[in-house]
Amino acid sequence: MMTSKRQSISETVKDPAKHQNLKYHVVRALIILMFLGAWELFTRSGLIDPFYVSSPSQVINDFREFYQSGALVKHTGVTLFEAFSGLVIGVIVGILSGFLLGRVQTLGAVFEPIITALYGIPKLALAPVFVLWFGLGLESKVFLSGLMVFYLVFFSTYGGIKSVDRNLIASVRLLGATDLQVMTKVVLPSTVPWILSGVRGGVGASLIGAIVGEYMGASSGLGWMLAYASSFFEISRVMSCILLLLLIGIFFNYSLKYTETRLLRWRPAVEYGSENAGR
Amino acid sequence: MNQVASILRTAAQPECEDKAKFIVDNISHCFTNSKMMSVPVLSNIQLSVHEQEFLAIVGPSGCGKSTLLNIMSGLLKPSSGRIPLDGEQLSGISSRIGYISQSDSLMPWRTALANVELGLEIRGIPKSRRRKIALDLMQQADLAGFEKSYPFELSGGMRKRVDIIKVLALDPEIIFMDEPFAALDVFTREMLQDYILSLWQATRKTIVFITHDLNEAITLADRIIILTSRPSSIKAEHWIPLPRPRSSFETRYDPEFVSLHKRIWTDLQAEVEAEKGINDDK
Repeated sequence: MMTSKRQSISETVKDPAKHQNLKYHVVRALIILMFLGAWELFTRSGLIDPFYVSSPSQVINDFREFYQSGALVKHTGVTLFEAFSGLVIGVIVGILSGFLLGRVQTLGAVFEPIITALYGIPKLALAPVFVLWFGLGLESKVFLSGLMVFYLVFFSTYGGIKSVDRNLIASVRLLGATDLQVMTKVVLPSTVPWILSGVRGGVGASLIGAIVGEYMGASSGLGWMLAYASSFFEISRVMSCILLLLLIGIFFNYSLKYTETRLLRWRPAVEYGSENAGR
Repeated sequence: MNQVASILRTAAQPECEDKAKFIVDNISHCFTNSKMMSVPVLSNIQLSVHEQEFLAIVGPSGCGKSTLLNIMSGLLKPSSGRIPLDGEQLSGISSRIGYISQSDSLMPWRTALANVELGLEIRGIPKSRRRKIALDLMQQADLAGFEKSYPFELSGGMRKRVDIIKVLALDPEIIFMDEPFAALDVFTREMLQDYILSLWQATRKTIVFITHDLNEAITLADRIIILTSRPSSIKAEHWIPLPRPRSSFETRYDPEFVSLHKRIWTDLQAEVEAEKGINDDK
């Protein structure tokens, strides 16, 4: 017993965390299964009316049909296209203006209060206006989603630039750095975590922008499908759409987390707990 | 006191007298405070640093030591005075001067090796060459095996050594150090003092070292300049005739060390108390 314990000191440092993780996964899966099981059971037994909540088996059936008809791919494609375009535009404009306003004193002093004031307007309240301006097509959704992403990325980039460590700037200046080098060697890399946190929020915001835009008026997209299906009480279809959005959200978050850990290897891992503790 | 200083001077470093590497020529400086009043920090500082000399500047905390060094390194423009290096007036930051600050100035997103390469990268040295220089320096500083570590994975002492060799990589003629070890614990500090001593022994770089720690100053320096409390001027100058090569441990138990310490401390004590008086008035 003792010797085996001693031999595996290096493993015991890592093992409990892994073991713990596995335990969490199992418990989590059990809770989800129990929830789905209860849902199915209550609806079958007639305790809850499936007309309002559908049931897991009905959702799966509808999901299959949704997919086989080709509608799923089409509508998901439309929504993802809108959200992604909004995300790209919002991120680019957000980073550029964050840098510009953060680095050029006068611009920052003049425009930052304006942007902050405009930020106060609930973006969703503007959705009908955008439909009026840009029509029922993709443009109004891209604009709404881009605007929501822009704010998040702009503020995080701006904050990042404002909090660049002055000591680091002084130290590269003493090594003889030019203004451009100060930018590329200090300001840009130290802003990366801030930008990423803006983008992380932006991914969710871009989807919200696209979906809400589709509610307001559209002829395709998951948001439109959701609104359409609920107006006809096709609750299984509504659930299918929600399931799809959930899956998309999980996928985005996962890929973002991956990018983040790759880009931020230089930071002690605190946010994601034991998974990254080794690095 | 001045008489003693001048006797020691001729005894210790007679050949250095006429080879002034760097001159601080009558520097005065004022800050403007929040009430738009001018606060004098440095007044008529006149000193010269000699080739291959290890000079320590000691003064009570808050006396303007760092301001002086910032002026000497070109980060700050003095209100009046000149700072010629080899007789040539400096304008702004010079590549011939290396500067090591108190705070950690490593880029946290760069590995230790990439941090050492930073200055060379800024100078546009080709990648293969700067890598070789950086690897050699890391080897010499006992940092082999930590090339790929990020700063957060290194101990405070290791980070400081990376910080130092980052500056050495550029091969400056003079190195300024602004209380480089102030934030470190006693053991790490002593290890780094030995590191600096061996570094000086090997490279004979001209070093100006600012500290408020008299022990540290005596251990390291050839000459110590004591600054008065604010507005700072030069209070006294002491030569440290302790034999080299030194080690922080051996030097401390040298009887000469004790008597030097006592003598210099009486100079310093008056200033520390004066500075304390200023702070108490606030």
